[in-house]
Amino acid sequence: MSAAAAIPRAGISDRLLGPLLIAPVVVVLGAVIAYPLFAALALSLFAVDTLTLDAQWVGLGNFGELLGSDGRFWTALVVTLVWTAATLALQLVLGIAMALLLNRDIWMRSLARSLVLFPYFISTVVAVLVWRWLFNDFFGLINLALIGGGVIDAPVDWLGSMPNAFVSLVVVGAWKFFPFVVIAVLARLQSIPESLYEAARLDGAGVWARFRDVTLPQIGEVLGIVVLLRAIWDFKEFDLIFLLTGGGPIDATRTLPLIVYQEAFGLNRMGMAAAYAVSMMIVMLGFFAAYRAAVRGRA
Amino acid sequence: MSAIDLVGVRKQFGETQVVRGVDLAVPSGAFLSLLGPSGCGKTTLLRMLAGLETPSEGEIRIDGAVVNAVPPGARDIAMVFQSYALYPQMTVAQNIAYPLRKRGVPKGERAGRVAAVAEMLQLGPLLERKPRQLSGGQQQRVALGRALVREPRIFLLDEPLSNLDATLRSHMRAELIELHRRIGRTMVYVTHDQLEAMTMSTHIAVIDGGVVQQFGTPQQVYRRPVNRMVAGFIGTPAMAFVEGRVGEGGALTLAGTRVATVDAAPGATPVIGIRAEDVRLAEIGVPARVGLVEPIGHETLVRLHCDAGIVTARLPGDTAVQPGEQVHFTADAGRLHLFDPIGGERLTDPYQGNERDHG
Repeated sequence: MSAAAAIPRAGISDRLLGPLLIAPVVVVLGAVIAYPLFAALALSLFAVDTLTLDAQWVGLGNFGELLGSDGRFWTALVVTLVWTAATLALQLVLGIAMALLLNRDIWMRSLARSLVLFPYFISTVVAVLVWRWLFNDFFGLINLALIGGGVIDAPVDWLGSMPNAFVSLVVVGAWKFFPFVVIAVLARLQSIPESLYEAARLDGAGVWARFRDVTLPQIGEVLGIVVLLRAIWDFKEFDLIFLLTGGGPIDATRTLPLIVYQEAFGLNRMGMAAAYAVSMMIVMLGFFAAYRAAVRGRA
Repeated sequence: MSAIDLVGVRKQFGETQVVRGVDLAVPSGAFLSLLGPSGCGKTTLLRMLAGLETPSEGEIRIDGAVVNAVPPGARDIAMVFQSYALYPQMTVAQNIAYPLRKRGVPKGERAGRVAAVAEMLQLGPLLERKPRQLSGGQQQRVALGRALVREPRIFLLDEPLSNLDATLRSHMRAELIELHRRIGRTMVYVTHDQLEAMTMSTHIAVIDGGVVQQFGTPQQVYRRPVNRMVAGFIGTPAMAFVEGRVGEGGALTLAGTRVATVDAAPGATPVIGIRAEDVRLAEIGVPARVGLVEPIGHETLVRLHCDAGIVTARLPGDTAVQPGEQVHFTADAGRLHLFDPIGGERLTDPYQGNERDHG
């Protein structure tokens, strides 16, 4: 008789023990991921009143309306994609530049490394309230500084007109989320062997060539993951946009998540909201497929 | 003319002096090894030659021209790194071609030169592979190829063999010697392995504590080490050091037994350095007890414990001695090395008449 068999197991056999051990995880994942997913899929096939939860089977009717005449979905999809691409591009540029800076032996480096994470950790509600004050046309610091500096003559309406509102949104989004890029890229930068840069210097590579031929290929992999994650998160970003512009002026910055909210709690059409959410999921699956294809192409 | 001149070169990082005044003239076409224990400053010295570090003081000249302010890429030198430092995303061919590309060599010429180097280093079949698909020895050869393809005046090699296994190391050692013979360029080789330095170099600079302890040919450094540090660092097994005593008439005794006659005042206590191959067992000599016996096959290393300390003897492989056995040993007076007991520097020509030159 082996020693292992001597451990008392209250009569539970090996065949039962494995499933029992993973059961808690399966239950939790099922409750928070699988159930909502299938519930959303199911909801999208009904016309549901949010308040009474009266449901009526409509099949693919919600999707028909969504893709159909009024074009709300397509406008919002374009807005969402442009927002995602613009803010993500700005996040990458800012994030990589800041990571390169923080990787150098600069003055007060550890303090700077902590401070740069600040926008990422601050609550979105607080951050947006601060930004709304900065953008304020009468009391805002931005207008004050620009007028004081002689750049503009009259206050600019940063959030209430286009394209200002969109640009402001992209800038605040980039400010809020670029620290994520900094963290990921900086971690990778620190693991690039110094000898690669030295070899490149001896081979006659200048600053730009060293960035292109040593740094960029080394951080390429982590950038791929960062782009995937941030693209998904920016695509479904809700609170920042909802709080900063509310989708306005009119619907100029109304992204798909805002429509989901509007359908569910403004128009009380839970089934329609679910249809929008499911459509978003399909677009994001597209992102993921593109990422997988890119990764496989490189390997 | 010398290819490289170092004049009063110093380097300090903050408070730490790493290189403390090095003067060195490296003859053109030499294979110079910078040899020393880790932390002795040899790598810093090499990096200053490469231009990766700037000397705090002193001048570095290449072919007579001061290069202190010349950036690494413009010095006409190539360096092979201990870690090889191959660009992981580039193929072998692209790695080798990189320095040519950065120097604006036209594409056609580039391909020809890469092919020639690949041929010389037998890298032909590997040209389209990525570095991670290569073994350590192959990566090593690619790194060499990237240095060779530029046809620089000077090659710098920073412990290039230390990441290879023993068999490959001795193989690459032979290849490097052959390569140096073929291209005839000046090479500066950093190593802490005295065997590599002895077998490959035309010249050795033994470095310790940031200064050159001795500069010379491998034979000079081996036969006439200028101090205890050099004597102990060069040679395997390491030279044994035991306390000697000078009596009346310059009689040098080791553990009470007279071993030589020296030109020194009675009462002096020089340190006697004895190489293992100079020790013989004899009927009459210094009494000792046999300690550790290490048979290697063609020879046997025996540690002999005498009253003055431990001496290692390299004896024929068929020597039959047992640990604990009492024996006597002797060594040729002319092959003893005497060092100052305090400063450790070699006592010059201490022998009376029996000095022999084996260099």
